[in-house]
Amino acid sequence: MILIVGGRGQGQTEYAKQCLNDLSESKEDGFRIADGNSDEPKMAIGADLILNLHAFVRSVMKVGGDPRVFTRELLESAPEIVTIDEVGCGIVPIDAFEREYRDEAGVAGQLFASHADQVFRMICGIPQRIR
Amino acid sequence: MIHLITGGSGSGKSAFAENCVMQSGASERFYIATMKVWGEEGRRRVEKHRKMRQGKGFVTIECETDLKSLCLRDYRKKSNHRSNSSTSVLLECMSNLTANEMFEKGGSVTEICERILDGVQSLAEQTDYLVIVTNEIFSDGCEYDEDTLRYIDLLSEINRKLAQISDEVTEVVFGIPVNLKKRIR
Repeated sequence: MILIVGGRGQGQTEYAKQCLNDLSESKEDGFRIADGNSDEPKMAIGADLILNLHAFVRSVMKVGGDPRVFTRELLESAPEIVTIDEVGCGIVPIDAFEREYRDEAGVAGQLFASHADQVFRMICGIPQRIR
Repeated sequence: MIHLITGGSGSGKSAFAENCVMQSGASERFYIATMKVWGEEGRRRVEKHRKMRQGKGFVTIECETDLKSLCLRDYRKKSNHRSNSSTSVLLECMSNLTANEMFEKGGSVTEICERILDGVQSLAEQTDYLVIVTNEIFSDGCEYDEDTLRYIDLLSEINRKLAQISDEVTEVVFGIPVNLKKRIR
C-alpha cells in the first residue's frame, strides 16, 4: 500500500491518481475510487484508491460510529493507495468534537502508515518519500 | 530562475530568502513588499523586516495588488545600473498578495490564480533571479468559514503552480532549508 499525506490541497489526489496510472498496467479490470469528501464511508470498503481518509473518519464520527472499527475494516479490505490530510498542526480546538476528530484522523494516519510500503509527504504538489 | 521558499510562521524563511539573494551575487536587489500595513503591529512588523534588510542594498517596492503592472525599470537607480548588471528580486509574501487580490480585487479562484501567475511570469522576465516567499497554512485541520476555506484552497493552488514553474523549491524548518526541487541546469 502507498500512503500519501500532506496539508490541505498539497496535491495528494493528483499524485495518487498518477500512482494509480502506474499500477494500472498490471491490473486488467478497472479501479474503484472512493473519496471521503463526496462518498459514504461504506463506499470506501474494498476500493482500490481511498481519497481523503480524514474526511471518511469525520463522516463516521459525525453519525456516532467508531472510527477505529471503520479504519481497521478499511485496512483489511487492502486498498492500493490511500491519501490523508495532516490536520493536527493548529491550535487545539475549543469544540470537543473537533478535538476528537483531529486525534482520530491522526490515529487513522498512523495505522495506515504503519502498514504502508511507501509513504509520501506532499508539499506544494511535490512528493517527498518519507518511508 | 525562480526559487520558491515555503515554511511556517517564524520558520526563518525570510532570513533564508534574503541569504539566497545575497549569495546569488546579483548586483541589483529589489524587495517587493506585499503586506497591507494595518495599525501598530503591522508597522512593527515592517520595521523588523526593514532592519533585517538594512545595509544589504535592497530597493524596496510596495506592491499590494496587481503585480503584473509592476515595472522594475521605474525603480532602478540610474547611477547604479549598468546594462550588464544582474538583477535579483525577493517577493514577500505570496500569502499576503493572494489575500489582497482575493479580498480587494475579487474574482473566481481560477481568475485570481491566473492574475497572480501572470504577475510572477512578468516579474521573472524582468530579473535573473526571482525568490518568492510563501506560507504553509494547510495543516491545522480547522473547519473555517467559506471565505477562509476558499483562500486556503486558492493559496494551495498557487503554491502548487508556482512549484511547477520554479527551478528550485525549498521548505525552511526552524531555519534549516530542506530542498524539495532543484532543476539541473
